[in-house]
Amino acid sequence: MVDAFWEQRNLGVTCSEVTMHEGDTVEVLTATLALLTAQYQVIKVPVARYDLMTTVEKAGFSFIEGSMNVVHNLKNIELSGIRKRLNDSIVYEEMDQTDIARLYVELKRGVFITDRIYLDTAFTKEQASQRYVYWLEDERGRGGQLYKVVYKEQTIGFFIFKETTNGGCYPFLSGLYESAETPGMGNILLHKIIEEASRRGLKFISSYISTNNLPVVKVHISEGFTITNISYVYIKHAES
Amino acid sequence: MTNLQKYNNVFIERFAVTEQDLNAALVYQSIPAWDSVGHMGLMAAIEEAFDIILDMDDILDFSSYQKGKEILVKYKIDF
Repeated sequence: MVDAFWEQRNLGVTCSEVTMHEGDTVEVLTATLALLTAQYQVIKVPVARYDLMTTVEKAGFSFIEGSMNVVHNLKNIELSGIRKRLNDSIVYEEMDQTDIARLYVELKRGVFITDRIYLDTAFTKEQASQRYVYWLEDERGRGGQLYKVVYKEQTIGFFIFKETTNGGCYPFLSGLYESAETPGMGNILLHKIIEEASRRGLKFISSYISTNNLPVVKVHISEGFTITNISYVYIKHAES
Repeated sequence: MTNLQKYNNVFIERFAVTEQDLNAALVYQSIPAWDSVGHMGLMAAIEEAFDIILDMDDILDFSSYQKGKEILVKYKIDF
């Protein structure tokens, strides 16, 4: 169980996050549930564990999304044909302060509209978008670097890049700006992350994506990512 | 086969739609199949069907079934 204390600042509630594992029993889950006192509770359950799923549902939790761990081994990343031509016409570079300010404005306009906070009517859309700003600021403070993706001198999107201690990277957030959502850009945005990881000589990319966002799932598969794990995410707002 | 038939076939085969779906309402992201990944496949199939190479701006402007026909006129493909 994790005390997600940062959500107090982000969302104004206390929050606990629980991740159940394949070997966990209903008894372990029940004991864990008994300890939960936070206002906002999140439980991640492995797939095909009907016993755990029904237990959390009986405890008042609601299913909100599937969380997929996807990994790219950074092999065979060369593009060809139309994807290469499009990719070659788009560049990326590290953001300066002006770019970061623009990014935060774009985020507040609502770049992400399928995550569990945005969809949850207990939270406002403003909270959902502000949460991303806080998150990026936290990760920048821990060494994350923000990049902008540019087509014909227009910034069309962004990604954050964070190396892990085991030779990989965790680009936990990327997106296209609303004003630049033109066909085909999703693939290119993700490929720029792959390019940067390869340029740095890293071994892999590991990321988490939501089943609520099917286009993003498809883009990851199309760019060569492998799904390594899926868990079901349940939430509950405790009565005060 | 006419250019229109070729054009329609690309959409039908890439997106598993019917002839009746090929109208002004068919725009980017109006159906699940026409997302970023679907768009790249559609553009590659258009290039192959008409033996052309699309400009980058045209690939990005190709935002609807109707708009696509307007763009292809620039490549001397008449409907």
